[in-house]
Amino acid sequence: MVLTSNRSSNSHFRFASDNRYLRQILAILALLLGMWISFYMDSNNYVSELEEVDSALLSDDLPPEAFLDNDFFEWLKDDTSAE
Amino acid sequence: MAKRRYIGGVILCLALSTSIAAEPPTTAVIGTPPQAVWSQLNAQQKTILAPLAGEWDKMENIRRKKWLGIAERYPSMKPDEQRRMQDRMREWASLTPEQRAKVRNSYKEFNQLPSEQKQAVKQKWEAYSNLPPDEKQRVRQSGKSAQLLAPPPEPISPAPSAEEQPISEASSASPVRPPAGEPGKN
Repeated sequence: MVLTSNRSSNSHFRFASDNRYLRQILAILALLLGMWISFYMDSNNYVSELEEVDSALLSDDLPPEAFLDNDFFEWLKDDTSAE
Repeated sequence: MAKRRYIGGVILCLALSTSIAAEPPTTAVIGTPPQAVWSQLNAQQKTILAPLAGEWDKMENIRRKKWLGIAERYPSMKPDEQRRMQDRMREWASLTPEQRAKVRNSYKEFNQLPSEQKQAVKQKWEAYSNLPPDEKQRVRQSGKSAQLLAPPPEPISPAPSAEEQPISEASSASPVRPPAGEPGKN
């Protein structure tokens, strides 16, 4: 009798501790999923901003070289600020 | 005058702005799922992104994702925009991340200018970029960038003036002939 009650309390204890582990694992998975969703949203925002700027600047009639020519922009800056 | 100062200020910002980070944020890199390799792209994507075929499989996922987004926008662009886009793709992809970030920053600032000022910068660039390198330097040293927009008086006057004399002699001679001929006709 004592043996059986011991056995049942033992299995109950094991079930409770398994349940606790399971909950901890689920919590960690939920946290990871939340983080990944947040990173995914970050990626989407970043990429859509790049997409917008790059598609506009690559199709504009002013070519990207104009913005890389430091001499040209320095010159525009100098002579417009001199007035 | 105030407008010119305003342009000056904006251009100063253009020249100095390096605020956008060259590298994407780590969170965005982690949050980007693996993107298709070149062989997995569909026919339309391959046609649009053809200039990038050689380097596609070496690109980071985040850049592939951006180009796939651009390929989606491509059909809605005007034909001349599409042509410019494809012409510039390879060169753009070959720039360093720092150079691309610099151009993006400058372009964002440039886009905030009123349309007539943007037009002036475009016209100046068009005139300036067609000059040979030594001429560019000479023009920069000789004065203000507004001279690029003015009708070019210098190149016409010195060189042809020497040649103009014989021409003007010839042309002055030719008008003489018709009157001489005209009486003959009469």
